[in-house]
Amino acid sequence: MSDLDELLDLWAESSRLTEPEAASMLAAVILAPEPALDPAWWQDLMGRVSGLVVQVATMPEAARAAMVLPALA
Amino acid sequence: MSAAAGPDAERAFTRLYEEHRPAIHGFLLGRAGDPETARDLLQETFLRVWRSLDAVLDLPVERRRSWIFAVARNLVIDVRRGQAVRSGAMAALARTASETVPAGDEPPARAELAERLALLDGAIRDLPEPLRIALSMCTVGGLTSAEAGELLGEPAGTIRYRLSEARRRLAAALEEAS
Repeated sequence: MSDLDELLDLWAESSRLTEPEAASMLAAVILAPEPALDPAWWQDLMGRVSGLVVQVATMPEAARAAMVLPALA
Repeated sequence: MSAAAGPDAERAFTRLYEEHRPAIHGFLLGRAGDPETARDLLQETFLRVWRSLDAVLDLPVERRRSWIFAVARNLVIDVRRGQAVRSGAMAALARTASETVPAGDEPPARAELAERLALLDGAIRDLPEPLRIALSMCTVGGLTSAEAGELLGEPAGTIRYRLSEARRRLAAALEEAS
């Protein structure tokens, strides 16, 4: 085995995860909490709701009244 | 998929993790060029695998590694280059010096070895990325040229050439330093 081979083996060995490191990573993955609500999705929803509120608030009274379903009037 | 998925899912995931972690780690190390970043990306890769476990397990066994590899490759693309943290490499080298050198070695020999490892590490960092990835996948990841080539979409002969070229450059760098 050449000097380079020997050094490469040592380099590779030092680069690999040790068993405790690998076990710790595995546990961290399995125990990771579920992702929170996607911020982009939430932002998009809030944008649409806000737009709708503004639209309804600024429309003429007659138009707003026409939006109400008869069953709920 | 989550911890609530139960012990069967955990066992299946653990098998995937044990089987494919070295290869994916080898790729990420070569691609990121920095041990700390590679570990972070490795953990994130397997977090995504865990959260998509059903989809992965639905794949034929021979396609699972490619699927995981694609996740890792896409993650790397999201990471800005130039984030290499020198301290990560130095910590790894310090560990190498303290753990892999036989205990009976005299301090000067140990220091010399650590110095040569530091030289090698620097030379590996300086390799062109395709050479570094091939080297890392085959040494750290333990893949054959054919296996690395399959994941990278390159012929095995190309990987063999890159390995040979990487070794030539590393030998020259070590020779020049001494």
